[in-house]
Amino acid sequence: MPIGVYVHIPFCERKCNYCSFLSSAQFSRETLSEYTKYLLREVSLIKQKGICGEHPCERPVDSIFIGGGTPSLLDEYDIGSLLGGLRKHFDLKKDTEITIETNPNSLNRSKLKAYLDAGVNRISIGLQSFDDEILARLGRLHTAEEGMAAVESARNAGFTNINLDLMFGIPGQSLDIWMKSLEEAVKLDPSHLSLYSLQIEEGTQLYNDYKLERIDSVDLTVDRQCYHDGIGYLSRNGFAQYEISNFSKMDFQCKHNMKYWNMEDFLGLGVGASSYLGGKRWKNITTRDGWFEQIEKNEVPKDVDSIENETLKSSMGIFMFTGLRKIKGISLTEFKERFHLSFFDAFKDNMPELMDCRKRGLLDWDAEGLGRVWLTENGIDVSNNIFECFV
Amino acid sequence: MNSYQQYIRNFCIIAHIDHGKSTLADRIIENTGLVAKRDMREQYLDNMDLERERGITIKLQATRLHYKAKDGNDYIFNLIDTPGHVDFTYEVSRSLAACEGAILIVDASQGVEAQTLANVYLALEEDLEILPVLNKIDLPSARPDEIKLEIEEVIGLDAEDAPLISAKEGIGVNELLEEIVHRIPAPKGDETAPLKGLIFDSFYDNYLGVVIYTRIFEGTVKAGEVIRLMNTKKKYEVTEVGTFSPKPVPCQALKAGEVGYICASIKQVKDARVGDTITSDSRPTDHPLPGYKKAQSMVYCGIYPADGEKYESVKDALEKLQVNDAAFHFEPETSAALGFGFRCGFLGLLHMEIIVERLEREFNLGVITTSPSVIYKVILKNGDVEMIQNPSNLPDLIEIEHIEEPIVKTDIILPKEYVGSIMEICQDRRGKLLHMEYLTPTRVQLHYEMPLNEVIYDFFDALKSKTRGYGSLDYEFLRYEKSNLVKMDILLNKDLVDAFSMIVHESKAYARGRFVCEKLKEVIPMHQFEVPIQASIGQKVIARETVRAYRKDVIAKCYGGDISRKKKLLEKQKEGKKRMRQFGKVEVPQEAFTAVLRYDDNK
Repeated sequence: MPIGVYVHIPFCERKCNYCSFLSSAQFSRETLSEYTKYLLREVSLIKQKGICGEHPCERPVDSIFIGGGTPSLLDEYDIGSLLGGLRKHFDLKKDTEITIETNPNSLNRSKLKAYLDAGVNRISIGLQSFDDEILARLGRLHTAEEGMAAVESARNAGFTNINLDLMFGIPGQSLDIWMKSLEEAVKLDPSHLSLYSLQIEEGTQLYNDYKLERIDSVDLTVDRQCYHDGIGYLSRNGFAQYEISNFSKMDFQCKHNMKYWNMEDFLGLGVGASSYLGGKRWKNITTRDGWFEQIEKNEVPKDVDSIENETLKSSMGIFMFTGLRKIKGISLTEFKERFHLSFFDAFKDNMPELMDCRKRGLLDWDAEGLGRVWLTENGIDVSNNIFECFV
Repeated sequence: MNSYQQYIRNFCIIAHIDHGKSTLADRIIENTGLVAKRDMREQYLDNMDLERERGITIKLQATRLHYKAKDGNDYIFNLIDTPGHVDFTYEVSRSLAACEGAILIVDASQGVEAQTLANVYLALEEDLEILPVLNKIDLPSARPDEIKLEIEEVIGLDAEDAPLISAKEGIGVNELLEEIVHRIPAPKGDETAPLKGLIFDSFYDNYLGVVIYTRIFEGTVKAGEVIRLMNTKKKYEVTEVGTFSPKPVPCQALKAGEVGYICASIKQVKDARVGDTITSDSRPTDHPLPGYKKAQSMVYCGIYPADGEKYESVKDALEKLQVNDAAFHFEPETSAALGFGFRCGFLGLLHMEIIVERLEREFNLGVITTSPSVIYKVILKNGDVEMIQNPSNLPDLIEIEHIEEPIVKTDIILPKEYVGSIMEICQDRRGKLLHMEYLTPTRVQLHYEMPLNEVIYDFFDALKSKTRGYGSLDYEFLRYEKSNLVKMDILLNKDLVDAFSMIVHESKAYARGRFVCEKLKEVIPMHQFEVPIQASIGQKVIARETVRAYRKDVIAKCYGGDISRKKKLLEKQKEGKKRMRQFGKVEVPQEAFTAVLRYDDNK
């Protein structure tokens, strides 16, 4: 089976107020080039020595996802050498999906051209909203207009597979503002849309502001209304939902992200990147200095303490709570083939809860219990609570 | 004196905290060649990680050293390290009883401090020869001449020839070793008399069973003999005797004047009680040694497992800690909010913090501690008297005639420029100034009477903070005194969380109530619903805050395939629901219980 490769670029011009992910605004131009070089050194170390007993470089690759942070901070040269290097070390299949995450303020025509030259065939643009006030509240550095211009440039440059990230459930954002943003997004005719319900995470600026009542509260009813109305609107406009937060036009599902939900193998490169290969999960060293130092010592920069050999139980649980994120749910046949155990036997202790969820119309499976298990649209609203059954 | 005794010196090092006791012990160990330099690590005698990390000594430790003096003779030094913090006075007095002399370290810049004095008084009570030493002489701020004068004036010891040393740099340490030989008396005692040994510490070892630290005053003890512990009246056959260098090294016999260890297949540390006298079963001594006063617990708090299922593990851990800590004790109790747990008695707040940290680190147990309390004397209308260590157990107000609280004599030494602000703090904590004296032209000692519950709350932190670390404190129990006290409760989401209940003076209830509510608002995470926080006295709400609601039931995004993070989130959520039952519906993080006690500089 081909694997996916995730490349983490842990740099941002400015950290967004809601972001709890691994990224920093402390860097210089040189850091970026240096980082790119070390990413390739990381790959060649993995090629030489393997990682956690796995040899991902010997397996074909059919998706690359350059995520962040803000990968579009990398200049033309760095992105070219990064992808050139990956091509050299990995056996890329002909139709490999290569995605780069970008934000409007760091994009320009020359970078876009460089992406295409380097083989990037999918671009994801973090628009988040078409309301300038909300963009400012989130700590984004671009305006709605700049966002739209970025999408146009991407299309003009030659991108046909374009994803836009949008966010709802933002303090101060009404259903109305949200639907307007969504309409604007659809007008731009992307092939893929990700709608994320804003998560206020501990340790972020937003969390503090929110807790100390410096900003309006988020009404959960409004949040869910934004979601369901959004789903309806997109389906009327030719976007099929295939995952809790993801929608696409025909044939434009994100191959790379599907690997996460299908529990397929992927390799993570860069600071703090996660990997899942051969039934093992691990993370790279999560500090930039630590990651650099390890590579400098010619060691694979994995965080030894993070390595988890998945047990059958945890493996089955992860299969469920990632798989149920897909709208079509999980295949019971596949479950049985993978774990040599039927779903109903595997979770027999949780059956009372699961039956209860089914009765309440949150979760469902085929009457004969042979085909699939999936969350209903109502079930998605409380998916975290249902997923508890599987951990 | 027997000939072997003239080459033994039993001594300890006493000092105020941070004046360099453990560093000097390190240098002495190094200079006598006990530990090769490459094996040397800082604070050699401090075994616990916690001790090394915090730079303090908690447990006393004894070790035997060999020193070749300038007179050409080989001497045996038995060095007993002692703790310096106010909480651990009891441990200090234990080590003193095993010695003939004490090295008194005084920091050459800081001078005499409250614990310096307290320790000197303890040493004088034991009739020890005190050898003053000025440490940290290498610092530019050192003022040896002034400090010498201070020692003479404040303590009344001749300090003219006090060695000037820097334990850190190794300056003057060899001269000090010579001084020990000359100034500290050799032990006395008849090795042929009936056995008389003092148990000054004991610990449990998985292989040896209980190991007794002892100082032999008379007679001799060998493996194979049967000993009797005079207090518990139990008999044991000695399996091994030896000395610490610093690891246990077996030897033939321990004789009068020597310090070492005895193993005798004793199963439980409580059977080898510290302070007890060891004698021979076949030829017992007539009179036991005086022993020690029992350590008094001054501060109480509840300790509860964070996870209710860990009750037995916490109990086991507390038992193990108690084994090597005579001053710590506990008994089971229950709390409506926290379930089953333990009421624990400590010497002071630091002692409490250390026990809690050890539970977490050495035993890997999450625990929740309730607000510390002193023991209140409650006089009921029917004439009964109840001693209350747990505010939740306070009887109904209608039944109470009045409440009395412990008052302590508090001695504070500080540079004179801080007198004003410290007097303010003391006043604010209901202190009564008894008198004030100038120890030297720049240093002042304040004598206060203060309610103990004010001292344990945050007084020590406040003192340190307001005097930039130059103020020092010692206190001892005086009496119980009638006082206008009320019980303040905290309600989360309208449910009373008994673990937060505290007894406070009526005049301070409002301020405390506000402070606690504000702190809790900061540390309690947002829930899926609004959480009102209220402080109340009886039915009357005196302060209120609200933690706003935030709810998300969908994980929207899974960054870069970090499934482990997502899994942990789900596990935490599931776990949280389990724990939530214990607090009604509100999840209260462990740190909330300590956050409400912290001294806040801005207040």
